Amino acid sequence: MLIPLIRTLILYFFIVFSMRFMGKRQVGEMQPAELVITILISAVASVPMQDIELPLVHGIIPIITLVSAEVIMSSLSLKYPRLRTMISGRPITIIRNGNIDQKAMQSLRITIDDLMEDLRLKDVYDLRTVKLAQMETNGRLSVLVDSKHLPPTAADMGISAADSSPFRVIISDGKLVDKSYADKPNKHKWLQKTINAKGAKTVNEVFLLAYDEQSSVIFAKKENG
Amino acid sequence: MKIRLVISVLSLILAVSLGILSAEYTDNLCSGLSRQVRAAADKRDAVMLQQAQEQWQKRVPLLSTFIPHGHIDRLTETLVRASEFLKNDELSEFDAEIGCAIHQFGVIGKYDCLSVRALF
Repeated sequence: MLIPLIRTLILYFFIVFSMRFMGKRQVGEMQPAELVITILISAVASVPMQDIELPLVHGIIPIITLVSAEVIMSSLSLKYPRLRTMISGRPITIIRNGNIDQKAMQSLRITIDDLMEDLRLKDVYDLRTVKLAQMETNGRLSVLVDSKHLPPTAADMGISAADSSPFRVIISDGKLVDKSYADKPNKHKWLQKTINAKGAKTVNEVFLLAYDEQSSVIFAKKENG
Repeated sequence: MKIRLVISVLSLILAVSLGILSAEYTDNLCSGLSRQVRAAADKRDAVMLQQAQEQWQKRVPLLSTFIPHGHIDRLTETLVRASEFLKNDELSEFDAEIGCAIHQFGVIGKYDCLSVRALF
């Protein structure tokens, strides 16, 4: 009982480290080669996990080999664009100026339903408004909508809009995330003053406190005290 | 990225080096023990066979880290059986077990060596 447990834990940490080492992206953003490597690693690791007759090295060496090969190939493909094209392929244009390239769709084996679904996910419901749609090498569709059909921005209208900056969470579920406001002058005083002003006495009573560079505050008190 | 690349290349070099070393070590160990077992069998020398068996047992933990345990266990059992047959003067069975052990030494000795059979 203990042996499979320990072997599985060793392989688990080894796989997690390997994936971190590869700097993997999320499954949906992976290039074909990266997806293959990820699937292979999980398949390779499962064999010595289940079969304790096999030395653990028989699982670890293939993983080291796959991860190293992946890192070396991705480094080489950064340097050599031709190799990158060979491994990852290149983006294929499916729609240009509202016209569908049927040949491209056939070569990608995409149905019109798939294409319409991808467009809807990009908030595009009328393909005539699409200036350019490309199937990227990671299998995602990128869409450029014709500027005539885009809502005007503040810059288009020549008006100035207030600057915005991302909110930083300071208190999350009663716990102080100290690093996020380390740059704030007199931070402890400011924090106490802010939560008191919002009706809380201590950090424990706060569910969420976030602030942005303009010192706007988002505050939520814990419902159960 | 450069550090990762260096670590990857070093890992591959280390894996290849360990592979070559382990293959060399196993081959030498198995051919040495195989000769010893053959000599013990020719002389019907139970002590010599016992020594070979003990040497084998000492190497089992290290060998188990890179050779499937089934291969190792089979050879261990064969050596034990051969030893028992020799003690009981059952020489034809003893010779058969020795033949089997020498074959298994050959299989384990060549386990990590590059060969068409192993590669494909």
